Amino acid sequence: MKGIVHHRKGALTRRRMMQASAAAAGAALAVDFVPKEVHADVGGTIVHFASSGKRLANSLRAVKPLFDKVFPNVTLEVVSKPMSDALTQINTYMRSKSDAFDVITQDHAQFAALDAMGALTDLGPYIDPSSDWFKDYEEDVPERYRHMWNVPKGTSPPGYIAALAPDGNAMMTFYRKDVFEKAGIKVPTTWDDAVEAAKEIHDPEHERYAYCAAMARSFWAGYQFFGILRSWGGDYFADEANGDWTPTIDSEEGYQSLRILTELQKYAHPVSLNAGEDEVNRVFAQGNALYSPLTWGTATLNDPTYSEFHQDWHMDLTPKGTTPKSDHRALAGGFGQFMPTWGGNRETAFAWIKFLNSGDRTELGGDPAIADAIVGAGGQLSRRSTLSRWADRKPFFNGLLKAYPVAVVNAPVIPEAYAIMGAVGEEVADAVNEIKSIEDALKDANRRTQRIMEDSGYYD
Amino acid sequence: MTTTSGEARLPTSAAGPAAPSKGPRAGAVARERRRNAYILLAPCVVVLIVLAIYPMFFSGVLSFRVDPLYNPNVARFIGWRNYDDLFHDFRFWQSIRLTVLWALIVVTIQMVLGFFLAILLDRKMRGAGLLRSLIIIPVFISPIAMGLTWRFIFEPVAGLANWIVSKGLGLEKYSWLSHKDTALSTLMIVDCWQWTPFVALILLAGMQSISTEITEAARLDRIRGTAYYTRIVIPLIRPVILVVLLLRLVDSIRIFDLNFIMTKGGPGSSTLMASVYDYTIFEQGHLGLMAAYGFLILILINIVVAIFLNTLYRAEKAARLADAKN
Repeated sequence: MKGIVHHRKGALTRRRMMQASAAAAGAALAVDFVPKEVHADVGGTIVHFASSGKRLANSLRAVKPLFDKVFPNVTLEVVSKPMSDALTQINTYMRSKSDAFDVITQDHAQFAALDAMGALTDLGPYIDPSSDWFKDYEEDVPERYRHMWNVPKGTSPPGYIAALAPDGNAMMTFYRKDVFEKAGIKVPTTWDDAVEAAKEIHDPEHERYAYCAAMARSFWAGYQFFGILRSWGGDYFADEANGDWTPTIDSEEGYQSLRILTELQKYAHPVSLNAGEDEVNRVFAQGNALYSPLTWGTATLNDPTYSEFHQDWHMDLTPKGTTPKSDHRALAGGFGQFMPTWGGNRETAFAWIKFLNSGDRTELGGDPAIADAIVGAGGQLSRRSTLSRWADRKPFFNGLLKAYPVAVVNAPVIPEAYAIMGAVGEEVADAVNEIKSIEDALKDANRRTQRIMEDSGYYD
Repeated sequence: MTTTSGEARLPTSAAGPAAPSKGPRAGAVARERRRNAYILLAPCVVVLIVLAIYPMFFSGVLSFRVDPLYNPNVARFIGWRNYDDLFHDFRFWQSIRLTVLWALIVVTIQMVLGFFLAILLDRKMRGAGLLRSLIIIPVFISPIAMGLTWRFIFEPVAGLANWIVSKGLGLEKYSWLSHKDTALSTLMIVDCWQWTPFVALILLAGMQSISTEITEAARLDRIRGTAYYTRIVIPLIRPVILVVLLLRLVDSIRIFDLNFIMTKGGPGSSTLMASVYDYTIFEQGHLGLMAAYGFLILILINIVVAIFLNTLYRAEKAARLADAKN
């Protein structure tokens, strides 16, 4: 089964050119990269599957030339698919026990599902010989990412280490600093202020729309909704920690969240109503949209080759509601790397994962060149030490450093998370597009969540 | 020896129908012929079983189960509940309604425009051959590449379509794919752009197969203009029309690629047609529900095909009877 997703040879596409430029950037860094040790005794082939794009697959391609210097006899192959398809494809591969990949990069919200499929390998035994390095890693990445190395196997704590994550993300406020300064507006800290700010800077006659967010049906709209819901003090379930799985989407907080989303659409760039993150980032980069109080965004908005407004895009904490329960609660996101149960070449595969996550501290086997290669390719990091090193050059990283301490896990750590996100997102998109009323959408979102949980036996 | 109906259909000698088997030699030949027939059919049957019958049986069973992609541990039999859930789902009815509306509108437009285009191409004029070659190009473009290209063309702020509308025609920009009220009609424009030439070429082939004696006779009888097409051409190419209608109708009901690439069913669920909705159900991991929906769509397509084949058969039969009477 190896190599079943390999690309057509020879065809010169835009994606191929992006991949080649990422590899070239990595190769340029590799010229000055002097490895402390070379593991010529290790060999074999590793196939790594990741979503395509600058942030994920191309970051891996940029690190590859450095890895090749340290492991000259290992053949590393990175294969990729667009993110919107990759998430489902990975689950399908794993459900069919595919042995096509030795390492996979997958969204945090999928790890409980991967665990239920028996697809995850306990990385503990591989980590043990490098406990100092792992201790440093644990302290350096946000605490919210710990669910990936504490996947709840069955019901017995403390779980096991399932993945490591060089990549990190959080939903943040994205705003054009120049526009806000010119209008004399401060970055809004509450949702009602956010609507007012959008109203103030909206200028559709000059093709400068105040607001844009990924409101495409299914999980994009789901993230928007839950991002606001959490900031009003709402949650997915009544008391998840104590096993009360009654959905609480149809609530006052839920209503406020949908109301805000509907209000903001009045000042939205027209693509917003059916946009995924790629479209949102594109209109941000083009200068047609100026503000989003809540979006995943991308580090490449601070990249001069991506946007002429790279110096103007700044990031801050997402707004909060106006009730006592409200607070700034960014949804934490990001991707982790795991070794599928059915993959091969385990030691070498882990050596690659460790290399990607090694950090800056040379005494622990790290090297700043690795993170630099990831950042250079358009990646975004989970390690706070590296983010700090880059923060003055990338406002996005500064935003992440602010958001990480207040970030919450973006979805419950249960296999059903993605299905719930999708179902609720469909209802949210219908409400925002005025296909359903807010009340009906909330009722249906609650009902569908309950059905998903019921099917999985949570109420038995 | 007893002869089976299968044996009766085996080829007979050039001298005429085979004489009844008399003796062991004739029986051995018949057996060998039957064996050869089975051997020749076997690969086809195996492929059919592996790729069609088994998956259909499997998805039939799956449609009566809860089997989340994300959690195989909770899979179990639930009877008719998936079907019941679908029948009570607003999006199920919305997707069926949109699919039927889509099929009726795009196929009607394509048939009408295709017919006029075929008339145009059927005329003797300079460059007709080149025009026929150019006009077929959209059919050969991959729907994915085409969908992505059209998506950029219809981008509401910086797209080419709105640039033409605002700068060229001096009109207000149009929302195209980005509003629930206009997204479906925009998809229809693209589908018609791609498939009208296909319809036109098939109808043109039908028109060009009409014997010159008939067209000459019509000319002598002074049957011209609209009357020529309604009284001569359409009745003569009716089987071709019905076949192309059937092909386009089934294809339109199954629409996926264009819908998926250009809108993914959005904004909201305003362009959520059957196949994309089924894919969404899969994407969210509900394998049993997905299988149930797939079965319902299969039934819908079969009903459409049955109605059309029946109409085609009756039309042919009526035409033959009319010919026999004349």
